Amino acid sequence: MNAFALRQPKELFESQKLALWYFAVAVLLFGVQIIFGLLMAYQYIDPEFLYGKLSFMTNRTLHVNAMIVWLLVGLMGGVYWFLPLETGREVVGIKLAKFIWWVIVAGVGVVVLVYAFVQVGPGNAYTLWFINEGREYVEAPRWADFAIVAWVAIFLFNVIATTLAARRITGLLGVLIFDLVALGALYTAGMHYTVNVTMDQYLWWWVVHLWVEATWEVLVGVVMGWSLMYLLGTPRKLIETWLFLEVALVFGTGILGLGHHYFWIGTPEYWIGLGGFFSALEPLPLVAMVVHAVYDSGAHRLHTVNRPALFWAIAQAFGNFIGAGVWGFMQTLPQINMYSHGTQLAAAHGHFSFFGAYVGTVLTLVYIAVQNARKRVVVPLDSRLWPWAYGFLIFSIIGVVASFTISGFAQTMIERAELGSTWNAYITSYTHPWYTNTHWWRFWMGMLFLGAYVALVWDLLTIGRKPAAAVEAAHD
Amino acid sequence: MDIVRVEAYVDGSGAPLATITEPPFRLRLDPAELGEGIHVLTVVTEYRDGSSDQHRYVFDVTRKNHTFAGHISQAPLRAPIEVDLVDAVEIENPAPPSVFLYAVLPLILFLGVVAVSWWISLRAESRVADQPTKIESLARSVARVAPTAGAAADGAALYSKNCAGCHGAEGQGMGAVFPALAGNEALADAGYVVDIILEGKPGSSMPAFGDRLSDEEVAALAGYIRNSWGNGFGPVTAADVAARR
Ligand code: HEC
Ligand code: HEM
Ligand code: HEM
Ligand SMILES: [Fe+2]
Repeated sequence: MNAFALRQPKELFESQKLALWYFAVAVLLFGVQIIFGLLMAYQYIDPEFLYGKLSFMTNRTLHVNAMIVWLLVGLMGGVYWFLPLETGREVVGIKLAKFIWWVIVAGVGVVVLVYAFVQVGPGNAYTLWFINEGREYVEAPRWADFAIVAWVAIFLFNVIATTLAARRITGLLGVLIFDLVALGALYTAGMHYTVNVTMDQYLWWWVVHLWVEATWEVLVGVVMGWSLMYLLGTPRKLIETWLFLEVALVFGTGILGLGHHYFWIGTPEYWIGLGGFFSALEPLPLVAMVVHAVYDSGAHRLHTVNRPALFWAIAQAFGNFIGAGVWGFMQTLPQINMYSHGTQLAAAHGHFSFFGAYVGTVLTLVYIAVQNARKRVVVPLDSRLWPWAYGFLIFSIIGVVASFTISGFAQTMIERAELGSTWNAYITSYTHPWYTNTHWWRFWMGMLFLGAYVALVWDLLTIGRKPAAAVEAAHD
Repeated sequence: MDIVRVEAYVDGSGAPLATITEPPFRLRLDPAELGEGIHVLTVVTEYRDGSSDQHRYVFDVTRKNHTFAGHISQAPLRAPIEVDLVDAVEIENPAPPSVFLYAVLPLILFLGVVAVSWWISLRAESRVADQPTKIESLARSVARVAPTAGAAADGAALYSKNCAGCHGAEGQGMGAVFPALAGNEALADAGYVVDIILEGKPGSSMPAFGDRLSDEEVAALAGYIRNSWGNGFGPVTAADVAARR
């Protein structure tokens, strides 16, 4: 195919330069996440490995929290990237945005160091404020929580003030503003501490579930809308029509779908019906997103300015539907969840959904930014390496997911359904070959994933770097 | 395929627009001769053996000889075309966003969510007991432990309900984790057995049953495990248990 090296018409906006920092940190933390995943995968095989030095739970916490941070940073980077393009002006309050960004980077460093070296305290107010609140997925001391709320507040200010200053509101911006409000406010729900563990979990799920199954999903709708406009030239009317449909379905099903986490934590029983019904409908908007992406790409016959970004966008649509929709639906009915709850089926679904829905999105955004970060913009952006990184990342995460699915199935079947949740049942399932063999499988698939990650980073650093002359020569 | 003839009709017209007998069976369709809007092209194919079939295709004629840049990728360009460089909706000049709707309302919503979660969290402070979810109707085999004061204590039944999950139905234990009770010399000491059942073994997964079982039940259990699976260490009485509480 012809490729053209085009001169950048003008400097990037300041907020786009900031976005490049967001993306760089995101991709770096992606690597950190993988390293800790591999350590854990190996500890499943050899529980003595690093025992007492770097425990499984430390690795797990770093694996999961690195993931949340890098995905959130990547999504926010996408907004900083597209916001000036959408409003036609520099982002208002960009100095403040840069300031809080470096505060957050330093803060994350301090939190990780404290976590690695101190980790536990006497379990009083001091611990909550300065060591850790012990909340899975959003593990931070309370001072860091306040820093994060300040960060989201400044981000929100950037978006709203820029929109008002541009004197222009679009459907995408309107959805973005209200979604960010919900995203930031829900974070504060995870900052309370109550003695009653049911009530504590009740609020904590607002962050975890209402983030990934409502507010993040809508944020993805917005940045993917911009991405498709960029990648394919899809007209705004089409994008916004789909977006409104998706937002209505996501919020309509996802908010009460929260109930699928309330089944067994000690909430009133009506949550069994509410959670079962609404969460079972949650895959609907994900189907809509697949239809949308496939329709757009097909209508444009895959003619795009950036091939890796378009392919990640398509992978995102399918990954979101299969990983979140299908693997989630599989265990969301209370009759099934009663047996599968807390088995590795949840981990299978966690890997598939986070990878499909959010890794795919962030990598789409990163490829778009990389294309434009150079002096000369190569169009269409393509390389020989990206399909390998793309293919092997997807293949190996499917391998990891398959191993968790099989071990989770063995647990559900043997420990729960057949032997009735006794200790004996627990040990029988944990020593069953369907359980133990998958540990190796998971580890080697993780190694392959690491290799593909290295290829991805290499590709991001080199794609579009060919001397312009050579690229231009290719066109005739 | 032996095609002898292809006829093309447009819309309801009874006379074919073209009749072609030689390949390539190609027709020149000029939109200028058709009205704007939806049309139907009917293609009738006749074969040498006398059979024939027909296909209908719907197409659209527009007088627009321009398109939005975002659509030029949808079909190869074949003729000169005017390209709208900016999507029509981008040129519209709607009213500027309202400060109330996009700045004040979001702030109110933000504070609203924060307030509701605070309220729930404050209310939670006064709620110390959890509300257990009743899942018996869904459950298949969850052993439930409840004191059955009064009823004659049946050691075997109590054992299968409370202990067999860990120590095995035949007292055989499980690997290095759960000790076997069958042939276990430690059971010779009745006081030790009763203490273990009452207090559990702190620091291990052996639970304390003192709060859940009556003296009679503990005695029946202790007697059962001391005298089953080949063990023969003698009975235990409720009074022995009461003395060690
Ligand atoms: C949750 C699993 C579990 C259950 C249920 C359980 N045990 Fe145990 N039990 C253990 C473990 C583990 C030990 C070994 C503790 C240690 O020494 O570290 C143990 C130890 C014992 C011992 C001492 C054995 C020795 O060699 O010192 C006795 C006696 C005993 N259990 C009786 C019972 C009885 C009777 C019941 C039922 C009322 C029961 N256990 C229920 C796990 C269990
Ligand atoms: C991108 C969207 C999604 C992400 C990132 C996601 C992620 C996760 C994660 C990480 C968990 C484990 C939580 C824990 O620690 O206990 C989980 C649990 C669960 N998810 Fe999702 N999920 C998504 C969408 C969905 C959807 C659409 C459904 C239903 C159709 C669903 C159903 C469930 C259920 C039922 C559980 C509980 C499993 C259990 O019993 O432990 N999820 N999800
Ligand atoms: C190198 C590849 C990876 C390996 C080997 C790996 C391994 C693991 C392991 C062993 C666990 C702990 C499961 C447990 O608690 O029993 C875990 C948890 C988790 N990982 Fe990974 N992981 C990898 C990559 C990823 C990626 C790319 C994502 C998402 C983007 C991810 C998301 C998660 C999540 C959400 C959990 C928590 C799951 C839950 O408790 O439900 N992991 N991972
Ligand atoms: Fe959920």
